[in-house]
Amino acid sequence: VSLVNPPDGGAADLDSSLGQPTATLRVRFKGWAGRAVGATALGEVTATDLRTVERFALYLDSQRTVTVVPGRYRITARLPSGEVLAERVTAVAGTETLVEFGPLPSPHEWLEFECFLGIADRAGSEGEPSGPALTDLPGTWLRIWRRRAGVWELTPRYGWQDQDNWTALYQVDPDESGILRFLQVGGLSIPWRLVALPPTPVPLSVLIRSSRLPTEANGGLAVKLTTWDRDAESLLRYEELGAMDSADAISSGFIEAEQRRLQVDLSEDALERAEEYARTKIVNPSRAAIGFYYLLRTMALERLHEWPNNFANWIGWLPDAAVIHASQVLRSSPIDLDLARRRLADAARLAPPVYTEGLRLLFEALHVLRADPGLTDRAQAEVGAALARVTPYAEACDWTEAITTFLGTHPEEPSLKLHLGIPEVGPIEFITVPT
Amino acid sequence: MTKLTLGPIPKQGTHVMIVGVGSYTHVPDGEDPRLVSGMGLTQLTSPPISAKALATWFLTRHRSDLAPLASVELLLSPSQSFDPPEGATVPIEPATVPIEPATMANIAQAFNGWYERCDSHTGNHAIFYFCGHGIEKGNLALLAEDFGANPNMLFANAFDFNLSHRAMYQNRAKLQFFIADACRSVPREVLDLLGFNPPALKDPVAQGQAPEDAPRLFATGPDDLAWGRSNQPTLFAEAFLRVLEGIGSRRAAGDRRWQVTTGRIGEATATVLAQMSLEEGTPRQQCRMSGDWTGRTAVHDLSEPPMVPVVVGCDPSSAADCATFELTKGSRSYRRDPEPGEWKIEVPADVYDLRASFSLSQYRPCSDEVWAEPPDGWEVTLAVGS
Repeated sequence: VSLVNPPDGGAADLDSSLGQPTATLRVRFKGWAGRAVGATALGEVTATDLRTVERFALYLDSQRTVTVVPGRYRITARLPSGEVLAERVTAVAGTETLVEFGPLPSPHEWLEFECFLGIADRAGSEGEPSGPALTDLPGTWLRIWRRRAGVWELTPRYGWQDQDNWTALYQVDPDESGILRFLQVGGLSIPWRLVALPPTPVPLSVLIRSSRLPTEANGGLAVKLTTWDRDAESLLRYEELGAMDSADAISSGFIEAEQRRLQVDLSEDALERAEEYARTKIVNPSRAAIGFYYLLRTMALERLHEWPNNFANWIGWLPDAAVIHASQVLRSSPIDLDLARRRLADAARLAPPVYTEGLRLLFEALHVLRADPGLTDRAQAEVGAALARVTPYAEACDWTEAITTFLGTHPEEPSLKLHLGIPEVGPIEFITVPT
Repeated sequence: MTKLTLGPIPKQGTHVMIVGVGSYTHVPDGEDPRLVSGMGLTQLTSPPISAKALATWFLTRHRSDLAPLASVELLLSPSQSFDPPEGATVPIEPATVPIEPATMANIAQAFNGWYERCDSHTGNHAIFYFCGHGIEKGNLALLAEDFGANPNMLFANAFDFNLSHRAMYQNRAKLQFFIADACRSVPREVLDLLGFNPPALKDPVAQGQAPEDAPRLFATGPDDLAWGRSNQPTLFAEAFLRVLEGIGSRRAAGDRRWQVTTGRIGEATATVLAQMSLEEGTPRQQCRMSGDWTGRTAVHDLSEPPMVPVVVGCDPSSAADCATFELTKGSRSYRRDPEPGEWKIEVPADVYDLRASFSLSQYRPCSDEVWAEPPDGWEVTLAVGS
C-alpha cells in the first residue's frame, strides 16, 4: 500500500455538491499477465464502523477508483476461491491512495488462473501440496468424445499440456460450432467419469489433481474444467461456493455485457438480419448459458426478454438452450404448458445439459410436469419417456460440480456402477503411466 | 401436531418446521428391525439434539423486523418432551410440550399445517430443517422414523427433499429455505438395486410462479457423509447455529443493522465447517447450496454486533507467555495478563486498538489495529523481538 500525496502538499479536494472533502482509493489486482487476465474478484471497502461502503467487481490486471470520505478503511478482495485478501489504509482528503493486491503465489505461472479460482492447490509455492501425487494413481487416462450428426465418436485432443507431480493441466482447443463434446477420465483405480466440455469459441483447460474430498465415486481424483471466459468462470465459482452475496455484487458487469451482446445476437432484429450460420458464429453458447442460468436462479425474469426462445431456436443442438427456455416458460404466467413440455422433451433427447444447473432444472421440471393434471395422456407419456431418459444422468451425476459430470462408460451410458481400467479404444492420453 | 404456539402471531412472520430423527424402528437395533445392515443405516443420537438446539435458537435468539418468529413446528424421534427455553423472545404455551414422533404420517400432517401458515402472507419466511438419515439417487430421500415398514414400498415412509421444496413454489411465502442435515451416501451396490420413488410432501404443479428466494442447503456433498458426535449436535448444526448467531452476518451500506442473509449463509457455514475440521479428530465436511435464490433475504437481524474470535500471538511465540495484551475501543476494554500461549478471545465485531507490553525487557512494547469482523475475526502475530 502506498500513499500518493498531491503535489501541493495535501490540500483537500472539495466535493462541490456536498461541500465535503473527499479522498480517492485506487484499487488494483496485479496478475502475471497470463490466462487469468480479466478474472474477477469482489472488491469491498469497509469503514471503521464495519459498514461496507462500496462493493465492486475487481478484475485481475485492472484497477478501480473509489471516492470516499477521508478516514480509515479496510479494503478486501474476496476471491472466487473463498480466500480473502485485505489491506488497511488511511484515505487522506485530496489524495489518491493506491491499494494493490497480488500477484497471487502460484506454483507455476500456468496455474495462476486455476489458483485464483481456487481449483488448483497453492501449496506448491510454499511447500508440497498435502494430497497424494498423481503418480500415486497409475494408469490414469483421458479421452474426448464428440457428437457429430447424432453419432458419438472419439477424437484426438489438440492443445498444450503442463504437468508437475501433483497437477496436470491440459488445454483443449475449441471444436467447430454445433458439436457437443465430453471429456472422459478413468484409470486403474479411477472410476470412469464424463465431464461436458462447454461449447465455446475460446479454449478450455482441464485440471487434474488429487481430490480434497476423496470418495468411492471420484477414486481420489479431481477433474476441474474451465473455459477461458474468465469473468463467466468467476461467476460460476461464486455460485458453486454458495456465495450469492458475492456473485450478486460481481454479476452486474458480466450480465450487462452479456445482455448487450444478446441484444445484438439474439433479438428479433438480429433474427431478421443474420443468416443462421452467422448467428451461430456470433453467439458464445457457453457464456450465454451461464448468463441465462444466473438470471433464472436469481429470478430476474424480466431481464430474459425473448432471448431464451431465440437461443433455443438457433442453438437447437445445445440441450441447455431448450432447458433455459422451458424454465422461463414454467416461471411465466400464464404458462404455455405445451411449449414447456416440447422444450423439455428436446432437452431430454439431447441430454445431458452441459451445466449441472441445466440438469437440475430439467430433472425437476420433468417431475413437476409429470404430476400436472393439465397434460393429456399422450403428453404425460412423452414426459414420462423424457424423465426415463434423464433419470440415469441425474442418478450418476456429481451435483457438486458446476459442469455436468457423471459416472459412465459412454456419453449415452451413465451408470451408478463403478467401471475401472484402461479402454481398448482410443485415442487416449495417459496422465500417469500404467504400472 | 407439535406446533409451539406463540402469541400474538404477527401478520407476516417466520414459520419454522424442524424434524430430528434419531431412532429408526426398522433399522438394526430398532424396536422392529426389518432392514438389512448392508444399507449402512444405524440408530443416531445427534438428530434430536440438533433439532432441539435449532428450535431453542429460533425461540430465544431469532429476530427479524420484517418477518418475526410466528410458529415453530417440531417433531422428534425418539418422542420426548421439550421444555421451552428460558429467555424465549415470545410467550410459548404450554410450558412443557410433549413432542410427537417423526413418523411419516406426522411429518406429512405437520407439513400441511406449516404449509398453510406459510401461505398466509407473501411476506412470510418458510424455513424447513431435517436432521436424520438420507439416501440420494438423483434426488435426496429423507427417512422418517418408520422408514422400511413396508418392504414392498421401501420409500413409502421417506420423502423427496428436492421435490418437496420445488412443490413449495406454489406457496406465497417469499423466502422458502430448505435445509437437509443428512448423509447422501449409501453403499453403491445397494443403491443400484433400490427402486427409488420417494413421494414429495406435496404434489408439485406447474403454476407459473416462483418465490423470491428459495435456497437449499445440503449439510454435505453427494456421495458423502454428514457427521455428528455422539450425544451432541451434528457438525453442520453446530456450524449453522454459529452462522445464524452472527458469524454469517454483514453490515450493509446505508444500514446500521447486522444481518444474516441467504447470500452469506452457505459460504459462511462452509467456512466454519472447514475451521472445525482443523480440530483433531474432526472430519472434513463440505456443505452445499443449491436451488433458486437471490441471496438478498435477511433471515436474522442481530440486535447487537456479532461476537467474533480474535487471536493474538507473538514472534517469537514464547514472548506471548510474558505479555499483557489489551484491546480497547472507546470505554470498552479487554485485557489478558501474562500466561502461557496465545491470547484467544471473542469480542463484539468492531475495530480495536491492540497494545502489548512485556514483563521481560528483551521484548519491545507494540500496538496494532484489529479489525474484528465476521466470519473470520482477526488473527495477528506481533513481531516483538529486539
